[in-house]
Amino acid sequence: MISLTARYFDGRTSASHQVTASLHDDGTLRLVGAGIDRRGPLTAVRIADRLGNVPRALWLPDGAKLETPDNDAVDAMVATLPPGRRALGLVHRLERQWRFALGALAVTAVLAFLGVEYVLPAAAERVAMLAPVELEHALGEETLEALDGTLFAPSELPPETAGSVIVRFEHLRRAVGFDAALRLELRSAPAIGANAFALPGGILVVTDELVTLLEDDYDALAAVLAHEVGHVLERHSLRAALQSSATALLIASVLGDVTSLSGLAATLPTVLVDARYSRRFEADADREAIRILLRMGVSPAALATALEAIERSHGGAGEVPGYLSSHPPTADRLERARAAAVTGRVPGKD
Amino acid sequence: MNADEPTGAAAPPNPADGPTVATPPSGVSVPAREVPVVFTGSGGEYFRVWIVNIALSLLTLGIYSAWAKVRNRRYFYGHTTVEGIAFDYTADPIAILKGRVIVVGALLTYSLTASVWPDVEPVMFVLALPLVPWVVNRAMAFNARYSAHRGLRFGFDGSYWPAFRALIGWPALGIATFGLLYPLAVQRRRRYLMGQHRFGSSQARCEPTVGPFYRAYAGASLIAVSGLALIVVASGGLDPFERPQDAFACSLAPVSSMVFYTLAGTAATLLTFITVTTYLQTRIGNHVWSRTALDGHRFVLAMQYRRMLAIQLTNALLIIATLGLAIPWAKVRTTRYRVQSMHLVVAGSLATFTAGPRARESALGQELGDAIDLDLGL
Repeated sequence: MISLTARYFDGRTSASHQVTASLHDDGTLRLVGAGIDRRGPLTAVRIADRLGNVPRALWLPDGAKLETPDNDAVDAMVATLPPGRRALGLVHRLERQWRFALGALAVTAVLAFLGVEYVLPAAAERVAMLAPVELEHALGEETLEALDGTLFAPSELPPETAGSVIVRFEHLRRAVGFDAALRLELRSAPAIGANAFALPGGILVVTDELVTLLEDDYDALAAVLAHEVGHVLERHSLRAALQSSATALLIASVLGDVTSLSGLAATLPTVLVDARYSRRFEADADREAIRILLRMGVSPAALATALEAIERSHGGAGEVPGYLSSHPPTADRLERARAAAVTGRVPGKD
Repeated sequence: MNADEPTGAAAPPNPADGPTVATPPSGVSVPAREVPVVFTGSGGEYFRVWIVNIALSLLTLGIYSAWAKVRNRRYFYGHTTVEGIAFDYTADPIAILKGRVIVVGALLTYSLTASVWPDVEPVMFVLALPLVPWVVNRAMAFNARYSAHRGLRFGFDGSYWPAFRALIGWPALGIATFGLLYPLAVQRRRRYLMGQHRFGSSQARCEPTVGPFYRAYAGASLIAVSGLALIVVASGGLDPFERPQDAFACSLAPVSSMVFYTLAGTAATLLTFITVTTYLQTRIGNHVWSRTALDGHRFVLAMQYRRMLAIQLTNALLIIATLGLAIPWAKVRTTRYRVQSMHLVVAGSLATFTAGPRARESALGQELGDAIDLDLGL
C-alpha cells in the first residue's frame, strides 16, 4: 500500500482540505480526511506528468483535485499502472539528471551547427536564385541610397581617369559574357578609403581612393572588378541578407517563446555567424575573380597586387579578431591568388 | 465544512461559511492580512527542463514544441504559490499544436501573398484588423481556462466590441493624436485585458487611473531620447536607422570601422531598449496590479525600477556572453523578483471562491479559436 498526504479541492470551492490518499493492492485509491471519505480506481484519475519538484496534480473524474509535494509517492502509484499510462515519465527522467541535460545540450549544439553551416546556406542559395531580379534591383537602389546618405560622396576623379576605369569595366563585362544589368558607380569615400563594393542587382561601386591607389595598374583594377562581379554572379548580397535574417529567426524559435530574451541571445551568435558567412562569400568571390582573370588572359597575381595595396593603404588600423572579420585573412587570399598565377588553375573549395 | 488553511491560522472563521457567499459584505470589518506570493523555482532545475525540451523539439522538427511549451509554463505556474498552494497549467498540447499549424499557415499565406502582390498587403491588413479582437479574446480565454489554482479554473469573458475599442479603437486614436492619447489607450487596453479575467465565478475588478500611465510614458520618453543620443554617438554619428550595417553590400576588403560601429551601435540600442521597456513594465505593472481586486482581496505589486533594471541588465550580459545558455537562470531570476514583489491583501479567507460557469462553447470556430494560443504578456 502506498500512501501520501495531499491537499484536496472539491472543484466547487477554493477550500483546501488535508487528506491521506492511499493506493490499495487492488488498484483502489482511497481519500480520507475531515468529513471526506472517497474511493475509486486509480485508472480513472488523471495524473499530471512529473516535472521537477513542481507539486503534483491528480484530477479526479468529477473535477476534484489533489495537490501534493510528495512526487516520489505519486511516481510509485504511477508505476503500478499499465505501461501505456506512463508515457511522459521518460521526459522527466531526462530532465532530472545533469548528464542527460548535457546530452541534450550537445544534441542542440550539433543540430544548430548543421543547420547554420549547411541547411541555411543551401536554402538561402536556392531561394536567392528563385528571387525575382526586380526585388534585387530595388534592394540595390535602396542600399546605394543609404550609403550615399552616409559614407559616400560624389566622385571627384578627373574625367579621363574615370573614363579609363569605365573602359576597363566594359572590357571585363564582355569577357564575363554576363549580360545582366551590371552597372558601375564611382564614389568618393574618405571615411572608408580604398575599397570596392557589390550591391544587390549588379551595382558595383569603386571608391576614388581605390582608383587613385591602383593608378594605372589596369590589371589590378580588373581584378577588383572581377571580384565584385563574382559577388554579383553568385548573388551574395541577397543570400547574405536572407541568411542573416533566417539565423536570427531560427535562434529565436529554437530558444522558445519570442521574447526579448531570445532576441538578446541571438545578438552575438548572429554577428559571429554573419561574419562566417561573409568570409565564405569573400573566398568564393576571390575564386570567381581568378576564374574571370584567367579567361581574360590576366594573371591572377593582379588580385594579390590589389589586395596588398589596399591593406597597405589602410595601415592596419582598426584590426578586428579573425572570428569577427568579414573577410578571410589577407595573407591567405594573397597566397591563393599567387598560387593560381603559378598553376593557372582556379583553386578548389576548402 | 472547515477549510484547512496552513498559514491562515490567524484568520478568523468566515463570517458566512457557505460556498455561495464569496464576498464579505462591505461594512463588516474583516481584518485584512498580507499574504505573500512565493516563487520556489531554481535556475539549475529549470535549465535541465529547458534544454531537454529544446533538444526534443529539434529532433521532432518542431512537433514536440507544443508539449515543451506546456512543460515550460507548468514549471513557472507550479513553482508560484500562495499559502503554499501552487498554480497549475493544464492546456492540451494537441490543441496548441493545431493552433500553431493554423497560425504558421496564416502567416505564410499572408507574407507570400504580400511578396508576390505587394499592392494587396494594405488590403489584407485592413481585412485582418477586425479579426484581432476575436483572436485576442480567444487566446486570452484559452490561456485562462487552462490556468487553475485551488482546484478552480480561471476564465476570461471577452466580448467583441469592448475588445475592439480597447485593442483597435483607442490605439488608433492614440496614433491619430500623434501619441498624445497613447498612454490613455494603453490604460484602456490593460484595464480590458485584466478586468475580463475571473477566478472561478469571481470577476476581477481592475481600475487603473490614467495619471500613472502618462507619468510612465513621460519618463520612458526622456530615457528614450537620451538613449537615442547615445546610439547616434556609438554609431559614429551616423543615422542609427540608416547605418551601413543594414546595407546589403559585399566589399573587397574589410571595412573595419563598420564592425566597430555595428557592435557599439547594437550595444547602445540594446541598452536603451532594456532601460525603456523595464521602466514601462515596472511602473505600469505595479500600478495595474495594485488597482486590481478579486472579491475584496487586493493585489499589491511593488517592483523597484532600479532593482529590476539591475536584474535585466546583468541578465542581458549573461545571456549574450553564454550565447543564450543563461536564459533559464535569467527567466527564473526575473520571475522570482516579479513574483516575490507581489502580495495579496486578503480580507478574510481565500477558501471561499466558487467554481465558475462551464466555459461557454460556441460551436462556430471553437476548435480554431481554442487553438490560437498567443503569448500576450499581461
